Amino acid sequence: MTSTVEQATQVGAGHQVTITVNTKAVTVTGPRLTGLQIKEAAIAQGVQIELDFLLSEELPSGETRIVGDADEVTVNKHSKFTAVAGDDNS
Amino acid sequence: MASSPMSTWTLRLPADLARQLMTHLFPGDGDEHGAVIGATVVQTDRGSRLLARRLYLARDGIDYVAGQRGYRMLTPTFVRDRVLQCRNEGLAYLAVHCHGGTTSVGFSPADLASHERGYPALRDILGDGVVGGLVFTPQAVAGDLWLPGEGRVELDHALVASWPLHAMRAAPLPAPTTDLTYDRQSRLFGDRGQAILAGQKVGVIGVGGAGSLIVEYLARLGVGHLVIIDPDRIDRTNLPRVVGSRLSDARPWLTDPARPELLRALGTRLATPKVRVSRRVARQANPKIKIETLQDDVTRDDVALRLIDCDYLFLAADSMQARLVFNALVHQYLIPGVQVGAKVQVSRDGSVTDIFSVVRPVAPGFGCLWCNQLVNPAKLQEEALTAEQLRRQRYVQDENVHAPSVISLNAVAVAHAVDDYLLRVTGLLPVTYEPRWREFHPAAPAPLDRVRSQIPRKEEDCSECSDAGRLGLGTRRRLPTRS
Repeated sequence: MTSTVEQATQVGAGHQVTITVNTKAVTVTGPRLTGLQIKEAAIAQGVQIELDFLLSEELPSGETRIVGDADEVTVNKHSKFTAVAGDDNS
Repeated sequence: MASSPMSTWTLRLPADLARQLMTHLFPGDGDEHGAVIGATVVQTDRGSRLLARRLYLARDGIDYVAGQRGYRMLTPTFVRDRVLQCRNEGLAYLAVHCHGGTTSVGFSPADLASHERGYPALRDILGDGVVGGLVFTPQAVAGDLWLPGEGRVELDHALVASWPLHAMRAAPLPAPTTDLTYDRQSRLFGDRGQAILAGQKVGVIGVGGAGSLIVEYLARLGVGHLVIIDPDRIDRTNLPRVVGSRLSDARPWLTDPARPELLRALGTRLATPKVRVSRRVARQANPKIKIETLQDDVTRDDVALRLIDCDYLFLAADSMQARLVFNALVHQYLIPGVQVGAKVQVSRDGSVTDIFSVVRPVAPGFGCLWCNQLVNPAKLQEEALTAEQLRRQRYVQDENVHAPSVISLNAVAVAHAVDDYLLRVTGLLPVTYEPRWREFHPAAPAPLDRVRSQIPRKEEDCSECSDAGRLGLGTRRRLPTRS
């Protein structure tokens, strides 16, 4: 699992790692990516979300933490994310 | 600033500021410590509010030293520098120290003598401002406020906008009388809790599917005063979701699809406003309730300003502009609140990909919708366009397609949001309570995915929720509204 979320500085190319987004496997170039890059990769690989969805990372505690588009996270093969529409209705 | 000495004066503290202050005042050494609070002054129909915006901690032995007439004092240079900072920012100057004790507190004769000796000069330096003294114990606060001119009033109470919503006074209030109407629920939070609810003014923005439920719950709980805002009227498709709506409210004899367009348009114009339906429901639940209905849009300046003396806000409206205004009200006026919603996510091929309800508590410095990218700038821009402009720019593919909406999904979010409110204001939450946003995904295959506890983001220099932004600014900054 990842540690802290940081503001993105420079995300360098690294190794291929398969994470999950909304329970779907998504292969990304890790270990560090921004929230936006995770959503872009998920969309490109067929996950039914959109770029303006709210991305959250699942934490070991069972809670989730919101990841902003510019926030940088470190991912590994156990990393799990959820993304939901932010324009919920009432 | 025109202030009436007869007005009730209260102080509101953001949770982070209150935590810093109380940690400084009560480090466990049993001694006295000092500080200064710079606060925005807001005049409202329900009294005057001091919104704590700046906290200046006095260093022991440097800024807070042995007194010449009393036990301890703030040094003259510390006082001078702080009062000038308050003057430059247009803030009230409130000197703070602590006493022993727990649930009651008062100024000593030496304290009051120091106010009489020093505060007239500070009031002159501030010009048109408020000068005051506050004395705290861990559970109580007393305040001596010197208003522009000759007015001098006592602080009624201070409220820490946190979990729980913690009101501190100079002494506990006398026990209220029992109202047998609320016998069953007041067994949970007592007559004092019921009296707190009766004294609350709560704003509900949007009274459609979710908001109409909120109004009913609050009215039945015995909340004393509601302000409900919604520009829309009932139509036939609202009946499955809007509590209290009747078919006759939608004027079906005029709006039937078989009718000529002119008659249908007339029926739409004559349909019952949603706020009137909610008022009907609220009055049935609680005939004593005071209710203000605004068939209008919260993004209009004069409408939003009707909410600035509320104790709590519920956002149950769909637009990004409403989110922006609600978020600004929370942080600018230090009014806690909650955003609720539900969503049935449908893919391009028409299949349902997600179903969820959300509860997002927002308090000064916590859960900012802007920090969490829940106010989408592109959609804000879209909403600023007229329907005709939208059609021309093809932002809307089919404006007649509405999002799916189901009463039970709304009810899940609303019940949790009202529970949060109830427990917060009646003091039933532990001081160790950790606030979270919550998502409910009833169709998630994995059991642990059906309820998600979410930690919101916070940008340190956010223009909306930080003390470099709107936090505690009150009327000194315009809300992000239309005139």
